[in-house]
Amino acid sequence: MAEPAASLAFIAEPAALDQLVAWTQGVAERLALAPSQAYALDLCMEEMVANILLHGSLGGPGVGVWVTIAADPLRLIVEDDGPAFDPCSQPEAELAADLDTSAIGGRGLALVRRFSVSMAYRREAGRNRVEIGLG
Amino acid sequence: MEINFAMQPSGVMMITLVGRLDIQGAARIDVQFSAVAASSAAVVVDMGAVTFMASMGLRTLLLAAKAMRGKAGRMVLYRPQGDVEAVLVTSGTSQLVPVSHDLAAAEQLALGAAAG
Repeated sequence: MAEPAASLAFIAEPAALDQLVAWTQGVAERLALAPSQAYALDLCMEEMVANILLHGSLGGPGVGVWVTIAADPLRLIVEDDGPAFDPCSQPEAELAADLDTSAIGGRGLALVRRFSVSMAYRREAGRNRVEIGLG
Repeated sequence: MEINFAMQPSGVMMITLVGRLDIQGAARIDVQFSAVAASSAAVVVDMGAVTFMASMGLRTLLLAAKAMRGKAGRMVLYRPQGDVEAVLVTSGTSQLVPVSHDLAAAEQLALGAAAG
């Protein structure tokens, strides 16, 4: 039964995060996800939406975001109508050897890659669409 | 996200984090966490009750660890659980800020005794 479990639409702004976290946890509970799957979903959701908050704001206010969590197999689909941004084509952040030279940011996509099994991007109808397989 | 801190008899400042160190949790504690860390020479961060952390939480930890480094201070992360520890390890953060599951060892590391 490969049916979409749930979808949520919102405007990309920090105020939307509380609702998004609560919604994601609710879906994870309803799907009876194992703790590690729920964590991976939570992490990928936060990183992808953080990226949209960051990059989407370059295109002006009011970027729309549509997230879907689908089951069997578990995956997260994130769409937004901000500027084109392909997370799959971003280089892997380099790990610094010590604290002095280490960059503070840039670890989000690397974490998504490590906590997921697949990631696919396409730009269609003015939207970015990223599908993340969570196994 | 809650933050508590207390000076230990060993001279280590223990900072205890409780809850989700997500985007909003990080925003809530960033200023206080950095201020307490930067004013201490040896810090152990008790992460045992942190239930979630992603890259924004790493940013909080790294900013404070860097601020301490500028003053020759040391930060050690104590008992991160399951997936939170996996985030620290897979991001390479645990190579920059040591992780320990033993309190005495964490305090010694923070105090610099193990560094010789």
